[in-house]
Amino acid sequence: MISKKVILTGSFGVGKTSIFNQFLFQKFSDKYLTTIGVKVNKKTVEAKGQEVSLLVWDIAGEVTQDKVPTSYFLGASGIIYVMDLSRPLTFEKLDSDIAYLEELLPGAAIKIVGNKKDLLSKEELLEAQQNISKKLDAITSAKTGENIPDLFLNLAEELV
Amino acid sequence: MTLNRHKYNTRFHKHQIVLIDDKGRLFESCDSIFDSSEYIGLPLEDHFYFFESELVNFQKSAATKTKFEKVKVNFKSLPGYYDFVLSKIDVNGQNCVLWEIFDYTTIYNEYLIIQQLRNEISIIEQYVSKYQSSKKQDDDNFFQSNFRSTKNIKLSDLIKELEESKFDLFSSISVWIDKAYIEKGITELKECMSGLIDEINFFVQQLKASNYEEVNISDYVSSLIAKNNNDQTATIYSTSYAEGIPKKLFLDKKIIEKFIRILMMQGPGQEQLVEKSLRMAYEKSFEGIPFLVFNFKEQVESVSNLTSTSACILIKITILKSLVNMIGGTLKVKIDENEAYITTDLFFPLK
Repeated sequence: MISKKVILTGSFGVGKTSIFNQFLFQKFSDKYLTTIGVKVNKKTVEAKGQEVSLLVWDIAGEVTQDKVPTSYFLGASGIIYVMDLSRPLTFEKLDSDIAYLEELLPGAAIKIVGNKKDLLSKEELLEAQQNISKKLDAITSAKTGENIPDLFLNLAEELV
Repeated sequence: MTLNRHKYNTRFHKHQIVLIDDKGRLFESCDSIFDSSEYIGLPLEDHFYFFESELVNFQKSAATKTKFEKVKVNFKSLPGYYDFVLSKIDVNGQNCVLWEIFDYTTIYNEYLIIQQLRNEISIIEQYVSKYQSSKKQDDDNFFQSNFRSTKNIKLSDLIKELEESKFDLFSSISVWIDKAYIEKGITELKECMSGLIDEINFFVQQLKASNYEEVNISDYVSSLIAKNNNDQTATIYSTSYAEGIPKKLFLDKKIIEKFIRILMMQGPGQEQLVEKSLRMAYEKSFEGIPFLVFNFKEQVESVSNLTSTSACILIKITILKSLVNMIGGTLKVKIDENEAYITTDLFFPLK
């Protein structure tokens, strides 16, 4: 079986742990509980006819990625960069963060994700997308589970 | 003092050393934290997903040592928060890995409380800023999607939730938003939030510095009350001391000052004349642990509805509860039948 390390990163309160819990356990809680350091778990998915073990690292949110300990990123094949679509400050550092991650992990697959879709109206969603400097790979709702399995599946397919 | 110096210099921690052979199997361990006997000779990654990626990554890398801080893993024998250090070592010609585990669960749980408060305050500030720059400032529902509505909830219900730890800062801010944001509350809330961030940061610095000394408690508290009272002319204060409080106690003065400052904090809803009283007592728990008890009673309003005043008090109490829990104390809140007074009992542990 192929084993791939995937990092969930982004600013604090954007829903990384909710995405982690929704993907691994199909659970969601409305209550915000901050993460410190890193939580590690794994799930096996099938991508392109192969079983892929995704080792998911849910790391504490930081305002900029250069504040995250580099040891966490060691050997990562995939990065899921999460933003909160309802809080513009969480996508303000997108360009510099992605540039930093690309330099730190050349060749890693990076997915840019806008989360908390359920909090926005259609108009607000459109407005948020216009204010984000890069194209989103997925618009998710960890609350409803919308697009969460597809996000990991697409990433796994890219990694095999 | 940095978190690292705080961890390594001032707190007791457990330390375990585990030797992993060149096939990734657990070879030997000192078992100070967990009993490794059932894992000896077995590949660690089968029980411990962290190593499924990290052992290979580390062995492939040029580094001889790597450190992972604040790690929480799905391994039943390690239920807390740990620092892991991996080192490459040669044992009889075999390329082994030394895995060191440092148990910092207590200190990281403290850190978690502070980070939770800081992040919640920052997220709330971001929502408030977004609201202020929005063209839809007349939209009553702006915050409803992010904060729980408390329109039909009584103050006594919220106090009960707070007692049962079902209440957090977001909930207390919800009360504020429901009651105050439409009028003038937003600016005041922002000021209050940034003030609280300063208070919390100072509290953490002080906790790390941990400067205990012998204090004449009644003189010291009376001087603090007088100092804070100068800025709050619309408030009537009374202070009393129960019998049995030792004249001198071994305390960190700045921590006490921080609690009193937050307890006495006056919200925008308390600009009118309000009554507050502080009574101090000394108690011992069943296990014999001494506590200094701050019994703080403050007037709300003699109506059962929530007001911006009660919202302000709820924010304050929520913060205090987190801070006092962090130093091993507790907080109890009561509201009288007429919902005119809230009483906060803060149990401050003594050395």
